[in-house]
Amino acid sequence: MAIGDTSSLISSKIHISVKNLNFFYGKTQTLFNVNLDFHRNKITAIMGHSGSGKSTLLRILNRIYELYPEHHATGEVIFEGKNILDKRYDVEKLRTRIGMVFQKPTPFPMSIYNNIAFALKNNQKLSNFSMNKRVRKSLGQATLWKEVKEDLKRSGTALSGGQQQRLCIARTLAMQPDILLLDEPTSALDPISTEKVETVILELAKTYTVILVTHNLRQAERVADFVVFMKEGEIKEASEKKEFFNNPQRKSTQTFLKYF
Amino acid sequence: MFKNLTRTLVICLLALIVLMFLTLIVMSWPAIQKFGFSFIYSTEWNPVTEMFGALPIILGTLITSFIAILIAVPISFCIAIFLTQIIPAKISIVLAQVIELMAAIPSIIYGMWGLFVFAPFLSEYIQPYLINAFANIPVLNFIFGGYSIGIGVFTAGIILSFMIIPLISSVVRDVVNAVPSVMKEAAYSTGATRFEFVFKILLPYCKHGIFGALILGLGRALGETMAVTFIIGNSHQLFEGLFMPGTTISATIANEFAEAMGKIYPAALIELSLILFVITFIVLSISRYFLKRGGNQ
Amino acid sequence: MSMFDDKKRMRRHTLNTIFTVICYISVAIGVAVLASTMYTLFSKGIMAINLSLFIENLPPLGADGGLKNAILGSLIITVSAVVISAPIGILIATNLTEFPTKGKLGSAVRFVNDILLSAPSIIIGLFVYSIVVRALGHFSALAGIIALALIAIPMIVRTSEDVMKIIPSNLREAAVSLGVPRWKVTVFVIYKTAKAGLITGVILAMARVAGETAPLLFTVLNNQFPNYNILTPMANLPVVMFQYAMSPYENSQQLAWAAAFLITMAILFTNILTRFFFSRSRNK
Repeated sequence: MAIGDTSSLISSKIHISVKNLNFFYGKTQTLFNVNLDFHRNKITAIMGHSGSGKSTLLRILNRIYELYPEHHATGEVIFEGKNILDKRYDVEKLRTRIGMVFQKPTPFPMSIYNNIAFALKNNQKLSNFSMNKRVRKSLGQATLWKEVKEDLKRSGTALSGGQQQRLCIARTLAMQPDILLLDEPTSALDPISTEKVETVILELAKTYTVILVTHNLRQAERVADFVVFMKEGEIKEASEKKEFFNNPQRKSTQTFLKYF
Repeated sequence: MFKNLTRTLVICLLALIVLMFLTLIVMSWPAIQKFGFSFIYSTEWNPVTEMFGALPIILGTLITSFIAILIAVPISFCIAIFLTQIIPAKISIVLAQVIELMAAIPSIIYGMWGLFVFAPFLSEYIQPYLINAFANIPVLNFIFGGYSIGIGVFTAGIILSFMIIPLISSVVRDVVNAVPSVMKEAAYSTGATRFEFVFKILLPYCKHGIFGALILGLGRALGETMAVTFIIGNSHQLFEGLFMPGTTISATIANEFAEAMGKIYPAALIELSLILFVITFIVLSISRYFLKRGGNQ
Repeated sequence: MSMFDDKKRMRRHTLNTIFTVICYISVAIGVAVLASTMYTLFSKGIMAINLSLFIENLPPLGADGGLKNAILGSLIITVSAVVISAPIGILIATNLTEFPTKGKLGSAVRFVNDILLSAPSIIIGLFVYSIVVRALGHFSALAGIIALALIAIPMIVRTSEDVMKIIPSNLREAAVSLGVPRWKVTVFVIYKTAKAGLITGVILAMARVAGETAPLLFTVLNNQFPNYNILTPMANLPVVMFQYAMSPYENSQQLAWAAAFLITMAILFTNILTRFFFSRSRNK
């Protein structure tokens, strides 16, 4: 399959592909020759200890690292036949196609409605009716609709932690991205909210490609289709879930799984 | 692009200080050319013959600021200790706001208060006794000499100290508040008194920050204009005694600029401000260095 | 042994008490100065407050009159200075927090800003004199506005940066990762979150420059006549205080105290209100 052959890409199993990626923080290198493919409409969990580079890798996929001048990356990330790391690639457009949810809930200082409409208004010209529909739909997908539908004018910051996180998910979904990047989305939440969010994630995989960074082995076991293990900036192992948990190949993976 | 707009403004800010420096040099050039280095050590100040020397003025600035620091530092330090160690936190916050309000009062108010209230008070109740006390001791009777007219170098120094006390005490407060409370707990649990904790443990730990605060106060005192202008007496004589009139760089400029005729006179005044700028620049840089070191303990 | 211990303990205790007393005295000195200044301001100022202050314009030295043009002049100059300096100051702070650069530009800016912040205001006055007054050929309110703006900008940069840099970077990242252009992120998310602190900083800067005299001495000077053309000298309260307080005339001095009272009350009021209001909204 040639890279330029878009027809086969649309139906190809690989949605986004990382090639020979190296990442630097100033003079320090933190990612070493990463090569990884992510499957379409599947949930890929990236695991590893703190400092293993898993969040770093995630943050390259939507180029959010560019906010920080000391960070830079070499290599390629191929999405729909193009290298998204290329300086000429429209990064704002990229971010509407690849959405991200962060570890800490980050509601904007606006009403619930506007939290969702804010980025949308920027991107698309929607009539009031369409906008309302889109807001309702994304809040529904995030299983937040029933809880907030009475008062969408309430400030996003007035919600509970779990609700705020689901608002952030709704916000990202409203953009109708192709790929969802989730950076430890439940580690700041209580168990009940975690369960709610995990249900949402499972539902989302039917329509989106999900890449999930988590340090929670049980979460990966519950939710993922593919699992990637990283250590000290390198990919140590990447395989389907059953393979990963039952038959880990590398010694470092086996040590890691001892915590299971 | 938005980013470029902000970047441009930042560059403008950097260019501004360079421009300020250059402008002052250009404007004082006639005086620099005429007097050269003699400007700094000459004591002659004669607008008629256009001969200007800044030694008494620079000395006056240094002496008044020195007096101000001498008085302000212990008082500010004790106020900061009072606010952080002696009274409970809730009252401390209110009292601290009161001290900050002291800082918000325009300096010209202190000058007016100094002229109409404090100077007469000093001349009646304090100065006569000080002058008499040292009257028969050589050297000291020169330093503490003069007339109890109220205005003068001594009064100016005290008013200056009142002005920088809120500044120094609030910076010292910040420095002390940044000390981890484990230090305090550890010290008191060994049975130390507050005095011992402050001088044997807190002070050494915060010495960089406290020194930085001190120097910051000095920087402020050196350049203070309105508080000093009212009460220094505007005399260009070389130091004649604490209770004699004198002048400082900023008081001279404030008092004389409006009527400075010709080419050399204004240039000389601007050269004074250039000297003040350089001194302030150095002092503020030193202060910043120590405050940064004090913060990164 | 025990007598020596007792003596030593007594000595330590005495030292401690002396120190504590000194601390109390220090605070008393500070409060006494504040009280005396306020008392003087009130007693001399209130005496001079009457309706004619707000109706009549400045008289020549030695005559009776009011402060109307000085009050209006101060308002015009101060507010204009703040209107210019607020956006500039906030945008410079924005560059420091939102668009940091790899090299030393950030620390250079902070250094220069600190110098300008604490530099004697008389130097800024002379600088603006050298450029604006000489260019126009005469004193003007415009020169005064520029001088006050140059004093206010470093203050606003400092307070704005302080309040924007504590905003968690995740919030910014979340907005950016939705594909929103940077300026919108800054305005609708960052500024909105920092709103209270930014406004407080601007208002406090305004209160501070309202009382500045030295820079006005070399840029605006004063104007006895009501004139609101910013290209000409304009009456203002600080210079009135300077000229009239130093004069030998009783009624002019009284006018100076009235001006002092008005301006100090305005500044203190602004300070207290701002701190009270905005610290409450911050502690929500």
